[in-house]
Amino acid sequence: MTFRTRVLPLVLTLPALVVVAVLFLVPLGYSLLSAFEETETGEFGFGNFAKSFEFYGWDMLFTVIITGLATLLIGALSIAIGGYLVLGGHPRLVAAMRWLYRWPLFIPFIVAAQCMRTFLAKNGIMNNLLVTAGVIEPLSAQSFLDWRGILFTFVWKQTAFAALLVSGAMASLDPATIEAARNLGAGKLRVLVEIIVPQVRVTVAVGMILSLVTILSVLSVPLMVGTGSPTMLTVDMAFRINSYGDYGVANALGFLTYLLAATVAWFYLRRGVSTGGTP
Amino acid sequence: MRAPGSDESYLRIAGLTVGYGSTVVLRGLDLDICRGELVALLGASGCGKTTLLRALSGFIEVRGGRIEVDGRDITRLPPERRNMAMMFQSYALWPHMTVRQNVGYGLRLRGLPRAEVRERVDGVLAMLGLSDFAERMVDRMSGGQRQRVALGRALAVEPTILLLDEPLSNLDAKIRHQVRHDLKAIQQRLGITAVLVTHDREEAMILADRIVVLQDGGIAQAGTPEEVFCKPATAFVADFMGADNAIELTAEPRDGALVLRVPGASSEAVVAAVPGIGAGAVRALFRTQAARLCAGDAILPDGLVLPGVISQRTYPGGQFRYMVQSLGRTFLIDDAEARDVGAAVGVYLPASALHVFPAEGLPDDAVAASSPVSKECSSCASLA
Repeated sequence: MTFRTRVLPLVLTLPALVVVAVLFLVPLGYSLLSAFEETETGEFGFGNFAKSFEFYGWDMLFTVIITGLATLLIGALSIAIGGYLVLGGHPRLVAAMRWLYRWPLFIPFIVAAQCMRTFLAKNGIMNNLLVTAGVIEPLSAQSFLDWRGILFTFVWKQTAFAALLVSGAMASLDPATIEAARNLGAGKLRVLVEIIVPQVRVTVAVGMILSLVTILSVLSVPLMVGTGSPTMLTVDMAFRINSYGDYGVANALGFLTYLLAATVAWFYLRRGVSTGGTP
Repeated sequence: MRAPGSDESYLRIAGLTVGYGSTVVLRGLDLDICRGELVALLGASGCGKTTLLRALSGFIEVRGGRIEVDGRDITRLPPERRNMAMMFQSYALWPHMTVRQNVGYGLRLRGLPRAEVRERVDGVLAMLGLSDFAERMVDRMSGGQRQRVALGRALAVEPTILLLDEPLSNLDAKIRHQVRHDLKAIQQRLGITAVLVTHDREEAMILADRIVVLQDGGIAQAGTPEEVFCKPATAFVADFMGADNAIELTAEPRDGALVLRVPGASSEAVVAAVPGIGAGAVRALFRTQAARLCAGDAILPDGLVLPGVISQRTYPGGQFRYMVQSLGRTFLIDDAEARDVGAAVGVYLPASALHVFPAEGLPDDAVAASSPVSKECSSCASLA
């Protein structure tokens, strides 16, 4: 009885626990310790954090703004896509949208970044199209390979994921709740805002939080698309390690990034607890 | 099909054709509904009753025909511009809103001042006995309370037409019986025009001023509950209205009447002459409650006595229900007297219990074209 109820469950979960411990908890703990360890003296302190704020303060602000803005845009677009799939009146357009919006899901960030380099560059595809269409003059074409390109790439790549979650939640709603609102006189936009979104708000929040955490961890996009300064913290971390072998500051930056992610994760978990464990 | 006793239609459905993909569900359906009338659409699953309701509300695109309300063509109008309120089978309440917010949503959409919305919502909640629950979230309400909230939400906007999609099917039997009468009283008090979809015969009989029985996308019969119950136009309607015991008889016209006999038995029943039915085989349907058991060799007036053997006895309440094997068929018969399984009995079918139709095997249109042919049952004598 004791073996079956106490030991066996532990044995069965042990492989998973070991994997989590070895591949996540140990490196995380080591990184945290390293963040507080002075590179020159080897003593514990806040020197790495001071250096991080001194050198990369603007990059921290830039990272917060880019991830926040991208997350908001992803949330808005995922709601728009999900709403169109649920409320769209033209069956063929809805089918086309359903088929198209998922494509970025299957494209890795690094490929997306490379695509955006050719699309958003000064003489890239987007400007060529705009010039050909007569929208802009050739001389007024400008490169979008800066914060706008980073934002565009993140939103383009990650909206598909959030929209998949949100449209799934919307599709699982009782259609009669939507029809009831329309029946009483609500237009489609009003139905989306007042009836659908409040019912799927938790899923929207989950999609946005997971997208934010993903964006915080991406190196390739800011490295390849954002060519100037400021840039994102992942680039700074890579730079500290590759150029200086400075794991202390890199880990301090990582710790700050983790704090940012943990903040939104805390809201997510608190919501889960208040709803009885449902995310 | 025009409403009886009325020469003015409020809701007119003319030649309505609706389908899904390659399936045509409603085929050129015609129906007129008067102002203040409650019409029940009754039929088996898949007959098109919910499709008709959804076409009226604008949730399904119509392939052909017209829908008019008070002379205005609304066939192509979107749902939000029809000023109809629908009460859904699932109630479709919004779980993120309170009872007050649910009921007042339609009024808010109409741009009424907040004070007026509050006043009208309070009035509706008081009428439905929900005043104490105004600020409660709807997902904390019982089934019966939710049903009333859904009704209140539909009534609050004072719609031109109220559409009820099996509104009582999610309630347990006891509450359902009470709510039926409440719903009928509210509809009559407000004088609202209503279309009810149900597959529950008793519910339709209690609630409706007129019953429309649908079959295969068309109207099998429309009439008052008494007419449809006592004078079913087709075997399908008779069966649907509870006359689900069937027997093949022979008919013989005599002196303007029709004499019915069981092949091989001596008893006979005389019913009124039926247009389209002459000498030969006919099909008679009768209700479980309309027949009774007697001695196997009994000779009873103006009715048929079929020899049979009891194969099962149950007690649904009030009377015993017997399963009787007779002439190679199985009948369900209600009878007050307790009898043993295996006992030889006679099944007495009074002439008034029989609904007579052309025998099976005739073309469908021949069946559909036949007029009501049953002899009136005693409770329907006033319909003559």
